[in-house]
Amino acid sequence: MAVQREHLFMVPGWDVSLHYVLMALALALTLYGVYRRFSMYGVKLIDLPSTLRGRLGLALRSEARLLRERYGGLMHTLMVAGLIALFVGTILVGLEHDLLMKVGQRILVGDAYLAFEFALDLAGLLFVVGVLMAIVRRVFFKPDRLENRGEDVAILLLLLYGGLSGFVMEGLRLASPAFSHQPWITASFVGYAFSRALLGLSVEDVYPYVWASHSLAMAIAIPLLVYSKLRHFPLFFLCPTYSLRELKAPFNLDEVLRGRKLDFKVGLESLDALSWGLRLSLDACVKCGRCQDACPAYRANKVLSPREVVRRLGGLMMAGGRGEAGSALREEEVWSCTTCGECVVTCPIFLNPMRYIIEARRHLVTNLGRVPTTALFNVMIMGNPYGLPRSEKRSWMKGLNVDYAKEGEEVEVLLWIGCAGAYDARAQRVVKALTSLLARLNVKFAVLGEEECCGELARRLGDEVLFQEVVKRNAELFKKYSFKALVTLCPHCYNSFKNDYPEFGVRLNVKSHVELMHELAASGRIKVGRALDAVVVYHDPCYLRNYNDVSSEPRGVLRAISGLKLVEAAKHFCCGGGGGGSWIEAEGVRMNVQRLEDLLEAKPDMIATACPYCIGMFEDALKSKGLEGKLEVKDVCEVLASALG
Amino acid sequence: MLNMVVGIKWVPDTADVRFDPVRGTLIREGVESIINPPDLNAIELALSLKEKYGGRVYVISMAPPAALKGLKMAVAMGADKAILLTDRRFAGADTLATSYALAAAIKKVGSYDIVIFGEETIDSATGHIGPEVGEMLGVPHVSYVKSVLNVDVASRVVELEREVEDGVEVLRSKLPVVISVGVGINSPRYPIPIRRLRAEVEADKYVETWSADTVGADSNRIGLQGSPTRVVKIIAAPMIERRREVHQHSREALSLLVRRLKEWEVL
Repeated sequence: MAVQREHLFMVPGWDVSLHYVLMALALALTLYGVYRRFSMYGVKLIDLPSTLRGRLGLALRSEARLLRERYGGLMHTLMVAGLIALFVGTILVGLEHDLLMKVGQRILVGDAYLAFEFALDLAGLLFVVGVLMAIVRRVFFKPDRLENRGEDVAILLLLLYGGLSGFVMEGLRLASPAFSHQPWITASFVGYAFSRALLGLSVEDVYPYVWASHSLAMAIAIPLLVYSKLRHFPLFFLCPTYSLRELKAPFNLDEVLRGRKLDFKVGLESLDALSWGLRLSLDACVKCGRCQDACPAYRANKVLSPREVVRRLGGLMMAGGRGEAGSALREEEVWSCTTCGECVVTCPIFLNPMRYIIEARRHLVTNLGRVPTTALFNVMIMGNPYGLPRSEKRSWMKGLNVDYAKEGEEVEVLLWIGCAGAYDARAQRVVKALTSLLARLNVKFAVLGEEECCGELARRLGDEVLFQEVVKRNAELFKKYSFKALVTLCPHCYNSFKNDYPEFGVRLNVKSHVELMHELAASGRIKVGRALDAVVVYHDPCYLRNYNDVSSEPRGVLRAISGLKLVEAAKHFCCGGGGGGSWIEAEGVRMNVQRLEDLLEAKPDMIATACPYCIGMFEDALKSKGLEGKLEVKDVCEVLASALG
Repeated sequence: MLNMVVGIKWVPDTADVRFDPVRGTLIREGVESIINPPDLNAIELALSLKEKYGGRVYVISMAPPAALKGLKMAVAMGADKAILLTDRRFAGADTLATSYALAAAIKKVGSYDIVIFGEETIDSATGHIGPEVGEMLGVPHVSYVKSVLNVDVASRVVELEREVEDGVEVLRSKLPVVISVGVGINSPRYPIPIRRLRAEVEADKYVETWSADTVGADSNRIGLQGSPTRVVKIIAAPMIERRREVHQHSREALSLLVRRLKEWEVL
């Protein structure tokens, strides 16, 4: 007997007919589901091609994100790799049978066929192992973050059946008299093993039924790509990504005032107000719960879980989605979010759960005026969230002894002090350290005297009107002066200037102070003289790390200091201060204390960070743990300044 | 149903106002204006009464057009209508002339039940307006109101809490009544951002501008002409440096404290 693929071997005609009927049904059901869901999301077909671009690379990055977790990642990769190989194999078989053989050609012959058999058996094995791992996890480990519904296990059992029945069929084929004594059948090493167990069976009687059941399993599995959580797979390729950096404005203040029309919706007033991609995202989520594990609010027993937010809004969409979406989320939930973005950088399919919270805030604040802190009122009236007079800032800055920006005179660096730097006693010390550092390095810099809030707080808390008013005012301010770079001390100002302002035509060369220090160190302008014998743990401000990928620069600066030993916390978590967290009274377990405990595990002598909120949150946490004065929290620039002697 | 009228003033933020000792005037340059802080509490009180008893809230300010910003903010907080009482002839008014003009405007509003003012303004701090307007309208007036306990709409009686030096008085008054409230009696709500836009975009719907003629004011009783008082001179009170020392609790610290208090002639 020739070494080649025998098509539809032992498959009677009724089986083939049944197969086509089942497949037709499955396909019809699937297409109907696709139609229903696409109209539910309100997919704009014209947007789809641009969404599909670059998806293969994204898929690889997705697997990489999954593999950050060993068990869950491996399990998924095995299933995906196996499935893809099996899919390609099936396509090849179909190609040969339905196309090539009609013109008298074959590809699955000889050694190529044996290699094909080996590869496909391996793929099937990986797939089955992956599915078994998933079943073990669902049935025995049951991680807290998973919902563990019956449906989850049922789908896995179906997949397992698909895999195993495939091997049983192969085993039966190889146990049939036509093949059982061929020496080359061992290439199909799994099927061969099965065949030895099935030898005595009257294979020809059994085979058609196993074949039919395999076909049935597939006929069920295909519509499940639409009707069950397996839809995360196709939707991953269709779902637009919503970057942390991009918070599209629901309206443009200038246009509204000019056009004198209020014909727009703001925030999560209803699900209809969301873009189709954000609606589709709700359905794409597979509820893996990785976002929940990464959420600092969830860890601190707050009512918030990003997975829950997506699940509930998704449920609302399925139930018709016309009702007020705001009611699906509790205010307490919405205000527990620190906008750290960890859920976004963790999601293996690149969804943005935080975005729904921001949209809910926009609805609560912009439409209803419900904001849990007076900080925004202060920004509106006093120009800073502290509610302190403008004159106080000016008088403090006078004492700084630095140059003020002058119109028509260019400076290398325009230093944006920010509200914390101007009003918070601790942050003022950071400003002093940085300004004296810059003065010593002969960097030509100036400060502004008349700046007010950057608006970041207003935007993250959901007041889009106030935010855009602030942007307009600051745009005028920046027009007055010329500078090579705007340098910020606060990652929140930094992110706002860098990522929020361009939407309103304000494009600046913005640098965080750690980037500036890193540049100065790299160019040799900073000569680190004194050794600093200390074990320092660096805490990443979320608005540098998660929003702007600035995490190697501050570490680089710290490493340049001789004697300094840089250590790391096991995992990144937010200090709890972002997204208004510093301004909203928290009850119960506090995120800053938990984060401090993470950092203490690294046994540091000092905590270094690069954000006034983080510093404030950790100093508070140190107080509540009775460690005040025992451990210092310093900005990277303060650490550097002390090493310059 | 209750109709409330709230009088507000758009004032320079005095925390930022400095004094020019040479010229004897206030330096207002570059100083932002704000709603007089207790007036925010007055607006809040009116809005919460509206929520409880129904009715309408009118906000009124006698000022140059710059005060529109403050009136719109009041609309954003929830006021139904804002009235800008503006006329060159109002200029130079003291509290008497101001109260006269405000009373005329309130009469024009018509059926008012509770008129609310902030206790005093941060830029002149007289505390006159509430009582004077009450007198001019010929209705009861109560100052230093801490809260409105109850309004019996049917029998038109209001029960108020009034803060006095050694406690709280509970008063009952007939409606209409003029009250004034101090800063901090409640937490003013956040002006609803979308309503701020609405007040801007659909200003005609929310804001009316009235002149002396609109309210039928006697031109001898308004502005400089109607003001018997004059500002002769402004003197800056010398700043006294406040010092603070922090010591650990100890016998030495206590005796130091006693010594200091004696030095400062407190003891």
